[in-house]
Amino acid sequence: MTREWTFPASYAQERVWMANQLDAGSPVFNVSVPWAFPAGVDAGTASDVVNRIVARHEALRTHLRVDDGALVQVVRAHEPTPLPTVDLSHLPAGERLAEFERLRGELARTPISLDAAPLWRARLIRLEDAWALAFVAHHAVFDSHSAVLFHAELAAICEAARTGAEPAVPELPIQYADFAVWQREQLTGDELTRQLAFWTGHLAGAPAVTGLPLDRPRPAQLGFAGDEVRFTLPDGLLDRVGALAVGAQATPYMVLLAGFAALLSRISGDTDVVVGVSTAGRDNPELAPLIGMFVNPVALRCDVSGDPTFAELLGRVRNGLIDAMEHGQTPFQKIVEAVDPQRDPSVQPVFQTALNWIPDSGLDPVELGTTKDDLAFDITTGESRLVYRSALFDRGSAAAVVRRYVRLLAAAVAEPERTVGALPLLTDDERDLVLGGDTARDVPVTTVVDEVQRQAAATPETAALVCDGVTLSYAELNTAANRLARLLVARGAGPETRVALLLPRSCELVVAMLAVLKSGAAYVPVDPAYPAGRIAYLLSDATPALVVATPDTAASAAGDTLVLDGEVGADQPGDDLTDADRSAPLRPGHPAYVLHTSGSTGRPKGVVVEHRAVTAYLAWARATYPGLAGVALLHSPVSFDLTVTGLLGTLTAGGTVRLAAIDSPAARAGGRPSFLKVTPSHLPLLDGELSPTTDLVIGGEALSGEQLAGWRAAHPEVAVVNEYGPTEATVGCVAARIAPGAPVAPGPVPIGTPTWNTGALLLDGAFQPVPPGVVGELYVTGAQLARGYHDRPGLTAERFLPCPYGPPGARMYATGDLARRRPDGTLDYLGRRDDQVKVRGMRIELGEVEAALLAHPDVRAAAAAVRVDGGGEPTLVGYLVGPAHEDSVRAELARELPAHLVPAALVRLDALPLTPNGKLDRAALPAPAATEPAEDSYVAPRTEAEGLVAEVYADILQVEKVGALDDFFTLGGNSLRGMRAMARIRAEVDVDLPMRALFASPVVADLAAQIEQRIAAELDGLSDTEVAALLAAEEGTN
Amino acid sequence: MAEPRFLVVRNDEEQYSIWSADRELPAGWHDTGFAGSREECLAHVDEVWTDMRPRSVREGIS
Repeated sequence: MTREWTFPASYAQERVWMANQLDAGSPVFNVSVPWAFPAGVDAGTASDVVNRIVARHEALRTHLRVDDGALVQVVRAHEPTPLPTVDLSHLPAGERLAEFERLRGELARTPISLDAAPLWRARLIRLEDAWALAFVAHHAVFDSHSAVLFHAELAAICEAARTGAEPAVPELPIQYADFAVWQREQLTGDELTRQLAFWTGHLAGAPAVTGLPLDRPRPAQLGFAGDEVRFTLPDGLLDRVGALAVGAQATPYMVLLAGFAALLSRISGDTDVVVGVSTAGRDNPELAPLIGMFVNPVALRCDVSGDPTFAELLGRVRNGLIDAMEHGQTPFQKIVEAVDPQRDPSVQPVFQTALNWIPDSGLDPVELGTTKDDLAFDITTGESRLVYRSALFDRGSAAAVVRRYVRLLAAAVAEPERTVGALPLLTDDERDLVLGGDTARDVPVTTVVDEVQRQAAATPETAALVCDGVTLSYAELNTAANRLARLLVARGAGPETRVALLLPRSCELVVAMLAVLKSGAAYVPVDPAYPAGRIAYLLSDATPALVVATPDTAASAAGDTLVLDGEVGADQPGDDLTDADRSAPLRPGHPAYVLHTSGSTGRPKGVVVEHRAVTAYLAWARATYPGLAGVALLHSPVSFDLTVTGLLGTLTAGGTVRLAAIDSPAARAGGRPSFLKVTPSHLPLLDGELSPTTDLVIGGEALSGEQLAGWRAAHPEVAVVNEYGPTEATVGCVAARIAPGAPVAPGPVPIGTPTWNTGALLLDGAFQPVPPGVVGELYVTGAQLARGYHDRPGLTAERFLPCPYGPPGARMYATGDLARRRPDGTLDYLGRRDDQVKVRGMRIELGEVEAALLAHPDVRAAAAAVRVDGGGEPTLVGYLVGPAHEDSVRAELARELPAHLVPAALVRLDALPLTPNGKLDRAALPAPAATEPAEDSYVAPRTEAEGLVAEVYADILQVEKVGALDDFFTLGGNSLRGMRAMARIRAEVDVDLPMRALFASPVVADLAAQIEQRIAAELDGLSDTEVAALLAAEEGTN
Repeated sequence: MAEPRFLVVRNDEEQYSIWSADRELPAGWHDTGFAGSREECLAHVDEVWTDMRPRSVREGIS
């Protein structure tokens, strides 16, 4: 038997071993080294050359093993072994190369098990007239500098074989295992404490996860699946990088890193950026000639705040890197334990992005389809690459990251005094795309009055309005409105004045709205169902010339009031008003309505919308919604601008407005409507009779595919339009149409593209357009912009800004909403900028949580909120409506979502609370009952497996009492102790339990369940006779 | 770090807005000569922008 010696594993080996446990079947840690022997070297000699190197370096005779819960490296004596050979020389040239690539790729992609020596594989492959070596080593014994050494020794030993001289290879005074022993002695006690103190200080408050825009949500568990985009830096760029470095007392690596930090900051919006950098770990001269794993990653934290110039950022990166390198020997797993003990298995701890500068070693020739980081650049003087996690990014997005990095870096080294925020990211084509394309459409600039009167003249006998059992034709509605309008003019209404409508949903309300428009004034709807205080505020804020009320509502009115009693205006002429009948001519630039919206702060403010903006929207809406020419069910209060589509859209398209509450029988009388506009919260209410036949328009709130799925499945023949629009940009300014029959994907439903003559800009904090895929704030420009806020010049100036990308003098409305452009140019809505919430440093996308809740078959409606109840830490709470059991929902969420997106509490509701406008009323969501287990909520282990897991936890963590619901990491566990715990459990129950099981299920009961499942699965795989034999053996031992 | 400075600006429609003093002012907008913090600029707009009708509306053109 071969002699072997056992030593402690080095920290680097331990780290690679632990990471490897997450998926031992992945080749992610394989390092390939290509080599071509000179012609004339035969297979025997080639084999000897490699064996000489193996004999010299113990690392190449080492494997890893867990002994008594501690990881050790086992070094075996050298036994010369001939390398396997494959002869391809008989193949035609083209096939030969292809076969060589295939063999080399196969070798590179075959996982190397860490528990059996050697941790490398090699093949000698004969090409035309010479032998090539395909060599693959596990990263646990081989780093990128090892590859350089390996090459040098191959060359030297080959040369010696040819000349017969002694090979020119360095003496090896110590071996890798000696280093590991020394390292273990060195990094203890005060020294380790001192080093860790630096890192905990350096990383205090750093973001737990990068804000990089992802193409897909994080899966609950990270894997190593990856891909890479290869590229070559433009000619001369590295020279200019070098020149800038020299002038700034920096290294080229620092310049490359500063460019990377700038890029990450620009595309994530983070000003605090953490990037992984590698230290070679070979500071001692004795270590320089050793093959082995010395590399230690550390974190470089870059402060990109205050919009520094690139030169300033380079200075910060330089200082940061020097600091990090000075503490580069601190084992990374110790840093992780010190700063991020609560592992979230969906996120790589401390850093998720990295940049390596490897001018000497070059890229691995084989693409392994794996990655360790979310994004990592390997930059060389020849071919470079970006490796990316394919669970998170599409290839197109990764390629865009490369393009933007190159573009930004080239600009930065050319003009280092430019600010980071002003460095270009986009090509000219991309810039055209993100500036929104051409939406120009010839639309006559008119008034709503002209449009309604045109329709009344065209279809006088058609039913215009059905309400409370009364039907008014277009002629009747128009005449009634004309009569009342003349009276309003007589009472002081006219262009640039306002008339408040304190009226319930009724025919009179619609007549009065049209009458106010015809008088030239702007209508201000005031819902009489509002509390008295709010009515009084709205009436005083709007400064109306007149209030129109009914006998029932008149008591709430203030100032000059016109009470509609059925007779009012009856004596007035019924023909259309002309400018001569008005106090001043009515123009498209005059306000049509003032609608109050509540902002996140302050009191409601009146948005002043001009006729030209309304008619611009209506022209687009009529062309987009054929259902407006049929019957439109209007159910929401007219104080909500969502209703403009169904009311004014219908009355200018020749359709019939059915005015009824959505839950009243009148809403269903007369058959299905052709057009209906709702908020997503209304969707569960839409049964067969209420559902429209032609157009379902959804607006007012973010919409997910999950919310829409049920309705869509029942009504595939109806067009669904997701319409986005703040009142300040008139009803809807960006929309996405899902044609009849078109599928609806899960996840957020895009809001689409801008309406006619409208622009949707996505800008960053410096008003620079953001690239596709990157989150920006949405700014709206064009024909549908409101005039501003009634009597609030300062607020108007703050929200309607000079537009740098439009015609001279144009304004853009800052929506305060976040959005992202898909590669096809459509927009995704991502919520309010002010609502961006973080829990324990992780950004929470409430929409993702809500979509996952809705994916449960027994959840009908759902919401998620981040609450700070009782002044404590913010917590994520999920709300659900439906028969689903909380435990089953929680289990489902834990499978689907990263840990930070799984609500800490679930609350079951009979129905979601809605505002009068039909939106989710977030303020009315109740606080969860205190469900946190109390201190003494000890649940004794209930099964044998739970008992075993609890015992192992208690032993390894030195905790007295461990219950079934206790969590390994909460009890003070870390990955090293986890490794011990898993080794113990494996030894006790003899099941193949990977390390990742602990990360996925750190709670005693969950891990015990996993163990039981695995035992059951193994039994399933056995034949009846094998089971019987096992049972018999078991009997025998008892 | 100094508080960022803003300008009160106005377009040909005599609509007011504010703009960062270090950033190039978009075409068609003019510096009114008032500069200060964001709050000072917005308070100034509240004082001087007394007729919020666009100039073309006021003059009966649109």
